[in-house]
Amino acid sequence: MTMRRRLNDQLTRWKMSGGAKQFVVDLLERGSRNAMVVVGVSIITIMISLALLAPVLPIAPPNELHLELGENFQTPSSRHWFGTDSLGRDVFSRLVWGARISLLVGTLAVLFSLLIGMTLGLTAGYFGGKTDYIISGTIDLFWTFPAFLLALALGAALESPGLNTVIIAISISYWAGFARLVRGQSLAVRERLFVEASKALGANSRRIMFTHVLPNCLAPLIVWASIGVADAITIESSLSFLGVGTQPPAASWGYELQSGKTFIEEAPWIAVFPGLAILVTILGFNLLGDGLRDVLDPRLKGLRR
Amino acid sequence: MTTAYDASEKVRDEVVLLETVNMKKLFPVKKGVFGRVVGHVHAVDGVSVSIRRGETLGLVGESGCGKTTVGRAILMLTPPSDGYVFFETPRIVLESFKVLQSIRSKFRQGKAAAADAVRLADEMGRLFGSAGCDVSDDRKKDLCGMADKIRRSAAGDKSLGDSAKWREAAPEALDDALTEVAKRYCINFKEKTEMKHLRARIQIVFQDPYSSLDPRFTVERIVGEGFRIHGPPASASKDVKFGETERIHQLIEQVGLSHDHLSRLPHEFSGGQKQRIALARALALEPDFIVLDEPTSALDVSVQAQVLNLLRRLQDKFGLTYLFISHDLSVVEHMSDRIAVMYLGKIIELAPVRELLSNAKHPYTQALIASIPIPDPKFKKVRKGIEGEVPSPIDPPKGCRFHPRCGLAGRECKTIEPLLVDIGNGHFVACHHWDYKVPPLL
Amino acid sequence: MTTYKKPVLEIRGLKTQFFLREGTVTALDGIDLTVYENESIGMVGETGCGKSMTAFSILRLVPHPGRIESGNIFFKESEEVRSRRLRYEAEAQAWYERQPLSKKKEYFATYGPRPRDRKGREMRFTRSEVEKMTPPEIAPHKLVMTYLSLLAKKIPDSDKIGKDAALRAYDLLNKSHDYMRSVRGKKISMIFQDPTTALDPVFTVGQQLREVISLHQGIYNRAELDSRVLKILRLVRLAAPETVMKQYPHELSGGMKQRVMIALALSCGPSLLIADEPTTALDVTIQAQVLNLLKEVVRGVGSTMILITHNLGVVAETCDRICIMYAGRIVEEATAAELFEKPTHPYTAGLLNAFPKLGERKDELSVIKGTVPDLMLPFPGCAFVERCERATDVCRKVRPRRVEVYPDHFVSCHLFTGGANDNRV
Repeated sequence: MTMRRRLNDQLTRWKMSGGAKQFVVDLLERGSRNAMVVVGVSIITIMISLALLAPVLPIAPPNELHLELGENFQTPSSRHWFGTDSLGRDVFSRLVWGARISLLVGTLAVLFSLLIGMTLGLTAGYFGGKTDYIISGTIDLFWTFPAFLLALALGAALESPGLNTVIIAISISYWAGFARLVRGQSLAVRERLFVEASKALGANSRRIMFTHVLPNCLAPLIVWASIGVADAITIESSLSFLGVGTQPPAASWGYELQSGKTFIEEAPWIAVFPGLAILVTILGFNLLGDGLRDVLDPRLKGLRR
Repeated sequence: MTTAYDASEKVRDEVVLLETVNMKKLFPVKKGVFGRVVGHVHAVDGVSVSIRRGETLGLVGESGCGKTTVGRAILMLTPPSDGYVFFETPRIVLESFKVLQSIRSKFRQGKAAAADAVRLADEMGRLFGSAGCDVSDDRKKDLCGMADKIRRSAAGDKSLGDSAKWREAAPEALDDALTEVAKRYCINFKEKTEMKHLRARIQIVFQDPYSSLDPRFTVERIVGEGFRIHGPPASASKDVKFGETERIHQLIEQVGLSHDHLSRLPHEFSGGQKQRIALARALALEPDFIVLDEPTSALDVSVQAQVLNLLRRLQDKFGLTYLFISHDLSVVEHMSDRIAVMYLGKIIELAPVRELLSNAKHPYTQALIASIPIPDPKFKKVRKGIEGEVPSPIDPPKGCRFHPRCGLAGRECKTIEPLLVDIGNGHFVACHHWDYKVPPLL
Repeated sequence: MTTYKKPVLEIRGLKTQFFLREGTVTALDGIDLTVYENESIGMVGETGCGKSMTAFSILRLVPHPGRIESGNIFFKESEEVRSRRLRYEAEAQAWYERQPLSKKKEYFATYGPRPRDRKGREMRFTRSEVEKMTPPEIAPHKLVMTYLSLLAKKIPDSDKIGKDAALRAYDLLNKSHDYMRSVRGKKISMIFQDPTTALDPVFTVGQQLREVISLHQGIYNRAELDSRVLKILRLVRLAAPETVMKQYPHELSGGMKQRVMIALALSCGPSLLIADEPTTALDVTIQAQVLNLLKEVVRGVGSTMILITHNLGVVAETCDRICIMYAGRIVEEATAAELFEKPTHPYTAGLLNAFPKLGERKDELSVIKGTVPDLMLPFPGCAFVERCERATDVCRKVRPRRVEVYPDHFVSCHLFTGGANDNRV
C-alpha cells in the first residue's frame, strides 16, 4: 500500500510543479480514463516490448536458414509459432525483428520531422512578417512532396536504398505538416496577453517562444505525432514491399508481405501474420492519437465521462 | 496617502517621473491585395501629460478613445509612432526641450527670424552648459560650440563664413540637440539593451486577469519570471545572496495571498486573486511606475473594492506612481489625484479630482459625469446620455472632434481644433466654449 | 398588498444543478420569485450567484451537464387556477403537519432531496438513516406536488379546467420541447450581454427580424413582414430604419446592435422580457440611452422585464423591484426605494458600501471579506455565513427562511427570522 501511496505523492508533487511535469501527469491521468488511449497504449507497449526483447526471446534467429526439405513452409506449430517461410526462417522471429525496424523508422522519422517542423513553425508563427513569409513558402513547397513517392524516387535513384533513405525521405516530407500545425498554434498563442506581459517584464523573443508559446502549442502536436508514427510505418512497409525500403535479409514486415505474396494459397501464414502485425500496430497508434485528441480537447468542459 | 492634490503641500520634485510630449500612435489601415495603406487609425493623436512621482493620474474615456493605447505605448509594447516619452528627466531639461521644440516648429514653418536663432542658441547653451543635463561632456562641448556659432552668425558676425549661416546651421543643430536629449531620456529612443533595464522600472497590470497569466505556469514561476530575466532587483544587497524564493514569498504575502498558493495553477483562482498575482508579478522587480490598465473592470464589485484598497496600500508602502486607466469614472475618482479625460485620441480635459468633478468644463466630461448610474433611486434623474455614436478614429471629424455630438458646437468648433488651455487651479480644458455658463448636470 | 397584482411568472423552489466529474454544482438552490405584470424586476448579484442561470432555467436552456432538478415555473397562470393551486397547497401542508413523526420521516426520505452517487442516480436511505432523520416542518416540495397531482385526478370532469391540467397546465417545466420553442421568442424573450455574438453575422438585420416574425406570427407576406420590421425598428429608435434593415451586424456600432437585439426580442410582443446584462458591454454614455429605451419600450408594449445585472446603479434607475442573489439563493427582495433606504441583509449592505460612489471619496472602500463560496460543497446553513460579520451559531447550521421584515420587503437572514428554519426541500 505504501508503494502506491508513494507513487501517488510523487505524482501529485510533479503535478504541482507546473511546466512539463504537470502536463505529463495530467495527461496520464486523463488518458487512463479514455478507452481508446488505454487500448492504443497497450498495443504499442506490447509491440515495443516484443521489439526490445527480440534478442533475448527464446525464438530462432530470424535469418537462420533451413533449406532442408521439410523445414520450410512449415505450418504454425509449437516449435515455430507462426510457421516458417520459404527459406525455413521462423516467421514469428522475423516478425519480432521486423517490429524493431518498423518502430525505429516510425519513431525516428517522426522525431526528426517534429524537431525541424516545430522549430520552423514556431519561428514563423511568432515573428510573422518576412520570416513567416519565407518559412511558409518553404512549408508549402515541401508540403507538396508526397512522402511515399519521394521515398520511392530516392530509393530508386540511390544505389543502395535502406533504412536511412526511408527515414530521410519521410522526414523531408513530414516536417511540413508539423510546421504548419505549430505555426497556426503559435500565431494564436502569441496574441495572448501573457505573452505581452512577459515582454513587459523584459523577456527576449527566445525565452517567450520556448517557455510560453511552445508549451501551449503542444496539445495538437501530440495527436499528430501519434498518427504520424502510424503513417510512417505504413510508408516503410509499402516501400519495403516494393523493394526500395529496407533490404533483405532485414526482416521488414513489408518485405515479408512481398515474399509471402506468391505463396498466399499454399502457405498463407507467411504473408498473413506480417500483414496483421502492420494492421495492429497502426491501429494502436491511431487509437492513441484519436484518444489523445479527445482527452486534450473537450477537457475544458469538465464533462462527466 | 495623498487624499487631495495640493501643490503647496507636496514637495515639487525636481525630477519629473514620466512625461509624454505630443505622443502619437497611428495604426495603418491596409486594403487590397497588396496591403496598400489607405489611411491611419489615429488611436493616440498628440497626448502630452506629465506625472509626478508618487501621484496617481487617472485616464478616463470610453472604448476607442485610445487610453489603453497610451498605456501600452508608454511601456513600448506598441511603440509610439511620434512624440517623446520622457522618463526621470530633470525639469530644466524638459522645459528647455519644449522651448527648443517650439523653435523648431517655427523653423519648419519657415517663420524663423534671427531673434529665434539667438533664442535657440541661448537655450542650447543653458541646457548643455548646465550640469543638470546628463549628456556626455564632449557632446556637450560640440553642441555648445554650435550654439555659439549660431549666435555669432545671427548677430551679424561675418567672420564665420558661409558654412555657419544661421539659417542652415540652426535647424541642424536643433535636430542634433533634440535627438541627443531624446536618446538620453526618452523611452522610445532607447536601444534594446538599455530598454531591458528600463523595463524593470516601468510595469503594467492588464485588464483581463484570465489571459494575462500563462495557464501552464505555477504562481511561483509567474511571479519569479522577472528574476529569471533580470536577476536580483535593485534593492538586493550585493554581498548577501539573493533569496529568490524568500522574495517571492514576501511578494505573495504583500498582495494578500498565502504560501500554499504558490504551487497552484492560474485556473484554480478567482478573478480577483488572479489580479493579485499579476500585481505581485509587476512588483517583483521593484518598479517606480505602474500602468494599471482597467485592473478591476473584469471583477465583481466587492472584489474590486479589495483590489483597489490593496493598490493604495502598496502605493503608500513603496512610493509607487500609477497611471490608472479606466472607463469607470467613480473608480478613477476614488484612486486618482488628477484625472485626464480622453476622446478620440486626444486629451480634452485635465484637472485635479475635486476640481474636475465639481467644475467640469468640457461638455463631454459633463455628459460623462452625468451618465454614470448612481445606486440610489432618489436620484432618478433622466440620464440622457449623448446623442449619436462615437465616430471612427480612422477619419476623425475636423476641428473639435466632439463637435458632431456637442450641444454647444459653434462655427469655429467645426474648423479649428481647440488646444488645451490652462484655466487656473491646475485645470486644463480643450474647448472653445469652456466658459459658457451651463446649468450643472449633477 | 391591497390590490391584486396579476403575476406573470411565478417561480417556486427552483433548483438547478450541474453534474460534473468533480462533483455537483448547485447553481440555483431553491429560488422563489414572483414577477407581476407591468412591474420590472431587477436581479442583482455577482459572478456565480446564479442570476443568468435563473434566466436560462426559465427558458429551459440550461446547458449540459446541467439539469433543472426540481421546482415549478408557473407562467401566466389564470387567477382561478392560481387561487385553487394555493388552496390545495395549503391543504397539502396541513395534511403533512397532521402526520405522525414516523410517517413524516418516511415521506421525507422518499420525497426529500437525496444525495446522488457518482453516476447520478439517487441513493436510497437505509432504515436506520430514516430513523435518525429530522423531518422539516414544511412539507417537501416534491411531496406537495405529488399530493396535488393525486388531488387533481379527483377533480370532476365537469370542472372547467379539467383534471391533471389544473395544476400543471401552466408549469413550464412540464411542457414539451415543442411548446417551449413556441414560448421562446414569442411569449418570453431574452436579450444577451454581448450583441456582437448574439446576432448572426451572415444575415442582415432585416433577414433576422423577418425570420423571427414569420416563425412566430405565421406571416409570410414579404410586404407585411417588411412593414412590421420597420415598425419595430422605429420603436427602438434606430435612425434610418430602412438602411439599417439592409445592413449586416458588423456594420453597426455596439449601441445599435443592442437596439437590434431589443427589437428582435420585442418583435412578437412577448409578455416577459429577460435582459441579461444588456448594457455591460456598452459605453457609459450609450448605456444611458439603451436603458431608457428599454424602460419605455417595454412599458409601451405592455411587457414585464427581468433585468439581470451586477450594477446596482443600473437597477436603481430602471427597476421597480430588486432582488439580490447570492450563491444561488435570493437573499433580499424589495422595491427599489426600500432596498436602498433600508438594506437589511448584510450582503446587500456590504454591496452598497463597496460601490465607489461618485462624489464621495473615501480613503478605503469597505470590503466584504472572504470570497464567494464553492458551490460544489453543500452548506447546510446560510450561504453568507463565512463572510458575514454578524454571523451567529444558528446561521451555520440552519438555512434562513424568507420572511417579510417590512411591508413588501423580504429577506432571508436569521437576524430577522429569529432562527426559524427553512428546510425547503
